[in-house]
Amino acid sequence: MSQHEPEASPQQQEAIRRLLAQARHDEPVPDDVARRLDTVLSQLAAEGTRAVDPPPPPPYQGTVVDLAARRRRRVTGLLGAAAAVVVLGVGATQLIDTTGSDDSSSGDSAGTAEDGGGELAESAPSPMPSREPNSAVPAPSQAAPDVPPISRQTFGDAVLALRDRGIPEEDVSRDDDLTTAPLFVCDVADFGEGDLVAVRYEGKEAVLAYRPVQGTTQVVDLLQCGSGDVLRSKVIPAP
Amino acid sequence: MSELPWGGRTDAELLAAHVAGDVHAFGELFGRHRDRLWAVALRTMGNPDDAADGLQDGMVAAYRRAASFRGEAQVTTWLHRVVVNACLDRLRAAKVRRAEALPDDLEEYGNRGSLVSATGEAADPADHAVVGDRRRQVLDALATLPEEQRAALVLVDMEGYPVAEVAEMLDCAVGTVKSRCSRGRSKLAVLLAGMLDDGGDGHTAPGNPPPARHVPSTHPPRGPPA
Repeated sequence: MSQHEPEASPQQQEAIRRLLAQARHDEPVPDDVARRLDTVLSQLAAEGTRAVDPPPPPPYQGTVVDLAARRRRRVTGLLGAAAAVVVLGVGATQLIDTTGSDDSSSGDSAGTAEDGGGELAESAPSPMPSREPNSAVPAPSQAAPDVPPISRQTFGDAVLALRDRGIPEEDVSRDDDLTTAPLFVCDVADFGEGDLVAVRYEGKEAVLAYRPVQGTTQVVDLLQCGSGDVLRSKVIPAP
Repeated sequence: MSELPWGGRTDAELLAAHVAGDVHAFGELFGRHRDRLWAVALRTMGNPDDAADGLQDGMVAAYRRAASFRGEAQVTTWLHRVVVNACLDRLRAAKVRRAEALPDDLEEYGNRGSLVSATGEAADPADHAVVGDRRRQVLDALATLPEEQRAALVLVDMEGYPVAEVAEMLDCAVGTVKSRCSRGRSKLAVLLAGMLDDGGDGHTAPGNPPPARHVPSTHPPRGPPA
């Protein structure tokens, strides 16, 4: 479809609205579907409280946290998960600059905004191609540089671009966190199977879970830190 | 729909009870809204089989993630959001599968919309009524729209939800919902130009003129030969 299709007149829009309203489905759920849903509900009920995910923690209130302690806890939790963990570009220098700190302890190997900010950290040293000029992932110079930033508008393209930049096949043995970014705090949750990538979604910490490929597709879930709730989901072609 | 005329528990109370371990609460809650959720799933997916799958996916997701409901929207809005997202996920997965399987025919099939399978109106007995043909044309045209536009039109124009509520359901801005609806209606105006003319609104649809459907005679019916 062309992006420059003529816009319907108000009268035409109203006529279309009427036609759509007339095409509304107002019949109840068919009996076979109702039975099927009831069966599934019964199965869920049989699971008891295990079928209901625990409530997520309250929204982050900006409290001071002991990052080192939290990271140790997260490491322990993540080691228990059978998932590959991915570390993507760490821009400690830019992070400190962004937050206004005068700390100069940033690592020499950290990626910079100018070099694409996309180099893998020490545990995932595979080469990563430079960012495509039209990549949907915002340039690190325009956002927090510690982990890949993703916006709501660019989510679909960003998850593809991140995967295409390279996710290690297996990296379950590493004893590290989702990312070495010092101020990225993401409490452990049941993130499920797949390759996990730390990201900032709309400025907030989150986790991308690249689920196991199924046939020709792969599901990518954006998960909430601390709860593992699926914030968004995207189906992309298998690599 | 959170208040009950017979004094039962509200939607929010049922959801809270479900999270607290009441094994019957979710069934009661979902049962209240099941028919309307079914209508949304059916019109979004385009056929009963895929609609049942989408509705079931959404129901399971809502059941499991009930604790994530923070009360910032109505429970029914949240339920619609979960179900619509489940349907859209299925449509997108089907589109990807089709694109992978039919690379040479991508353009042709892309213009047919995002249905997992054919528009199954033949399997919907209710649509074999007097208005069945017009309804089928509308649904066939609707099926050709991108899924986001289709979902917006189903919720706003078919189900009659306020735009602001649909924005919450689709997790986007109010302006985005309006834009999707407007663009979707414009495409439908082209596809259904003949029906608009039949409707007598006096406006010609934009784009190429539709093929002639019938030419009514301007002369009175002829009688038998004298």
